[in-house]
Amino acid sequence: MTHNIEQSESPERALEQWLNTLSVNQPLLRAPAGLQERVLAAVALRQRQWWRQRITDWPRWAQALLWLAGVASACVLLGLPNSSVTSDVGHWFELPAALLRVCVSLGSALASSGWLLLQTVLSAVWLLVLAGLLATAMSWLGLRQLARHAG
Amino acid sequence: MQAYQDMVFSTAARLLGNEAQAEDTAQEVFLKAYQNFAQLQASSAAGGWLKTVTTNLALNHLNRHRRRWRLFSELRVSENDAPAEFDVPVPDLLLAGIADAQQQQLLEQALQALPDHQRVPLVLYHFSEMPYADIAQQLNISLSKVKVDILRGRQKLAIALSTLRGES
Repeated sequence: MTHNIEQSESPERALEQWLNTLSVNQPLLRAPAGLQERVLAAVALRQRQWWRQRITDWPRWAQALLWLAGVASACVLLGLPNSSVTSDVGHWFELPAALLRVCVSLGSALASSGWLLLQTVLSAVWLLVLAGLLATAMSWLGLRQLARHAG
Repeated sequence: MQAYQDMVFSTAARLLGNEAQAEDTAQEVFLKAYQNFAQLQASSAAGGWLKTVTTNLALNHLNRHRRRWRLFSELRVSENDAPAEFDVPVPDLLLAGIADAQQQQLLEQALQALPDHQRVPLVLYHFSEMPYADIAQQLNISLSKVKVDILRGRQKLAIALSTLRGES
């Protein structure tokens, strides 16, 4: 009833072919009955977690809050370049703050319309950075919540 | 989803060797499918996409338990060593006289009994029809290690089947 596998190559080949035949004829396992319900529940949960969706699909209040945060951040960094607040922030964002100060120095030499344009662009950059950070944090929190829910 | 749920679940269950984990993985796969619904709906390769995502997620899950995986790896002899000698049952006689349904059940049980490092390459080779080189790349191990693991996996599977048959 037994073969020594090292005696010849044929037992290995026979074993491989035998398993090939078995695997081809092996039917799929039946998925658990509750799988579909679980998936649909998880989809519904994910839809409720607005922060895991695209920013354009976020609720109005969240979008407005994000804009406010972006504008506030830009004001702090651009509008008060020599204030103590900016100096404190500068410890955290030394390089970007330095770059922004250079931008502000350059910008002050520009006409008022150009200056406004520059502020808008820089505000948008900061807004995107903030949005990215917020989305990452929310997504992480959401994943944990989902895992807890699934558990 | 109904058309693919058995395929997704089977792929995950055979790779993971655990039905509860396979169900979690299947859920994750379908959530990803939901996120990419627009592209998948228009694609004729949805089945292939689902199978690839299932395989990747199952392997990621196993990689997260890499310590356990490593422990198994360390029990192995060097990859250059010749395969150990096993007395394996004659394949043709292994499941002779058993009804198809019971054979299929025994095979699933025997697969689940294999250690991860042998079951995973074996399933990828025999059930996903993946070539050795692709398995090596997917598992980030050498080609020779893949071949040895599959060879030993088959031998262990035959022995496990023989044992399970004796018990049933």
